Amino acid sequence: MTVGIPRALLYYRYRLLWKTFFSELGIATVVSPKTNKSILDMGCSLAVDENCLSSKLFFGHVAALFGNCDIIFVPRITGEGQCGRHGLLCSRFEALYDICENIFRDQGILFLTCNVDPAEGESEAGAFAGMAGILGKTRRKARAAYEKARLAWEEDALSRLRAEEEKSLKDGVKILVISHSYNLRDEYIGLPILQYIEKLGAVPICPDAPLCFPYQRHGKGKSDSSPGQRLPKSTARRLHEPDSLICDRAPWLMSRELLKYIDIFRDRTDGIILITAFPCGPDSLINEMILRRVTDRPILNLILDAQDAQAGIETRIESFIDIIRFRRKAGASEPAR
Amino acid sequence: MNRCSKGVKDKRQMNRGAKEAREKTQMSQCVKRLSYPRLGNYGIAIQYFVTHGAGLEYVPPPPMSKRTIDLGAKHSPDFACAPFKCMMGCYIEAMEKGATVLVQTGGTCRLGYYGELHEQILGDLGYEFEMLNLSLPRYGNILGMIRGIKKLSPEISLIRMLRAIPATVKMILSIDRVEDYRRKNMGFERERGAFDKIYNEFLDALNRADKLMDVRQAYKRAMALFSQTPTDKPTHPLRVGVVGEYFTIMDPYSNHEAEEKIARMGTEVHRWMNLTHSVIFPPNKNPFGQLISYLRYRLRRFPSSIWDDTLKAECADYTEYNVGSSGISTVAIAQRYAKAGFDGLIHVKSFGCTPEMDVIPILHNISADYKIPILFLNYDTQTSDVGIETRLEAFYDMISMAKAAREKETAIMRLYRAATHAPTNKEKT
Repeated sequence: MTVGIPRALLYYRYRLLWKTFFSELGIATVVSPKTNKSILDMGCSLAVDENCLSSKLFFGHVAALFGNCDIIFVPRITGEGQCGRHGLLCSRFEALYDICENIFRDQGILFLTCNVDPAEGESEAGAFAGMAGILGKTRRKARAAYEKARLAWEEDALSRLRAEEEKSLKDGVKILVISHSYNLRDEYIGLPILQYIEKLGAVPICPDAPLCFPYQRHGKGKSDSSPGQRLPKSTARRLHEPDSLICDRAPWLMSRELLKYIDIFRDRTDGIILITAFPCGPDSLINEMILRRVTDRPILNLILDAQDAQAGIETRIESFIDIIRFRRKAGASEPAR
Repeated sequence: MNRCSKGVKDKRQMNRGAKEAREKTQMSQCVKRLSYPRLGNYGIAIQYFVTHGAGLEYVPPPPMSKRTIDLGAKHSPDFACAPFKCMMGCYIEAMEKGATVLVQTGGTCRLGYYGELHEQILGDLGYEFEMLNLSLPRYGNILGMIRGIKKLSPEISLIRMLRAIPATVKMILSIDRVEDYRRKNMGFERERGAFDKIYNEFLDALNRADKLMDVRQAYKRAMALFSQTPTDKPTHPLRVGVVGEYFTIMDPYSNHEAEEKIARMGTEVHRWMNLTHSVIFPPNKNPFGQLISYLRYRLRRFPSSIWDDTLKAECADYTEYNVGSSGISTVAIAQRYAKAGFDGLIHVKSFGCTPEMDVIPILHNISADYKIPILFLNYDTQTSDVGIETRLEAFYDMISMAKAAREKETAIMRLYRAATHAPTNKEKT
């Protein structure tokens, strides 16, 4: 059996978890190709027109998997942590499986799902173990595979965070890019922006690693772990704090993580770029809060939709980085706004 | 468990005490005038509860107008959903009228974060007020909420609030039943405006009500007058069901009075979603089921907890899981109306509303399976009615022509069978 994984939305957050889980169970996986124009066009034709760009791409990626796999994996994830303690995800993820079943109803596509709903008592471990039956595996094998996958996922998250820490120590203009991982890492949405920032000679710091696990168990006090696995004290201290300094009651898990990243990296960067897919629900409120409460750094609020031309975005990034360079030259120490 | 040393613990207690005293002094110095944004006519019940239950002054925001929407849109993020902007406008207008405490409730969608952002924006604009944000993240549980309300005004008595609940609940039930009756019959009144006259008198009587008996009398009088009002309602009128997003569906100004408009064209309009069904009575058919729903109520899923599980079971053909917020109710009620043979459905939502956007593919399938047309209306802070009226007129024309064609086909088939002496299906069996 081959399981297809759409390269969109939560793939960028959980790809190592899912791929490791399936490979530990001996199940082949295939991921849809990188985003291109035809996937975008297909997604726009399948989705409701006011869906966010990331969701439109998701449906395009699902369609791109037809004929390449036996079943398509679309999990239903509502939040993380016991009783949703770490926060909720956007309600799009709650409904994603049911939306796919309804959009592709007449095409006889098989969808594989698991229900991760900690607020209702459905833990991630239980959900993955429950998927075992459909995949023809025992629950015990599924639990063992999940444990390994989760460990690998957490280690990868820490090493990604460490990589951003190292980048933040470089010289030169550093731009903190705050965006959900499915926008930041997508070939069509975020990657061209990161490449353009690098082309202008600035260093994009783009933290998007998940933070909702007991990272303390990794690397701390263990003799066989390399010191490089450990996080700097200031970062670890910030991660220990339950909520961000910007606002402490954001309901959404990923928004909370991004706010924490602003806390961690803002002093080491020269400006912040917020990338949002129009009309993202959580971002419409959280970005406004960031703009009002973070006043010591210039912030560029980029809102993207399925535009074809990059010129407008490039112009704005160019002038933003120019302003930062002028401020650095002038030795500005006053708040940006 | 606080494992701090005694010295640190004492210092923290001192700091907390100083902060509380400061807040208490500030609170006692300003007069508490509460306000909550407009939501249909439910403001009357909220006002009653605040004045008679909490013993505080209530400042109702003025009826929503173009100015409200302009103010709200100007000071809100661009693609925040329309309820955020409407509430912002209502808050500003309420403060212009003298409100000092703004009330916000939580919800399972973005509504859960409205309060904090409203507070930030209004504070940045220079307004001086207090935000009573009755959402779970702020207070944790119902005891926390009660403590928060007591902190607002220490004179508030829980007993007095409980005593005001029956009349408040009766007001909400009465408003919903009267509006339900009006929606179903106003399109067929012989004298134009007769139903509206009774309805407005009913609302005035509720505004003056002082106790439960007054509410009961106002309700009985309105229903009696309604039943005496002559109508030309056919035996099988055109029936239209309205489903959609929680705030926009219940507030006539937000949806540009779509229900009244389609009703006046000559239809019987049904709408399940109101405060009675969403907050007071669970949708279970039997009392035991209702009791279970109350016992399993989860505050963190306010308000959808009361209908989630029951309605989800009804739409097993279309969804396996809860699709979020009021989405599951939209699917279940749309399916109920489709099964009952309604002539058309109207889906109302504000632009960008994610849960309602998610159910649109499901509604397309319901429409295809039950051959029922659905009109999708999307609202933002537009101010012109013309586009919406045109679409409603075209929708009405379509469903009335379809109904006429069905009735003509039935009549022709009847004549054909009589002429050819062909047995009907009944006779064949």
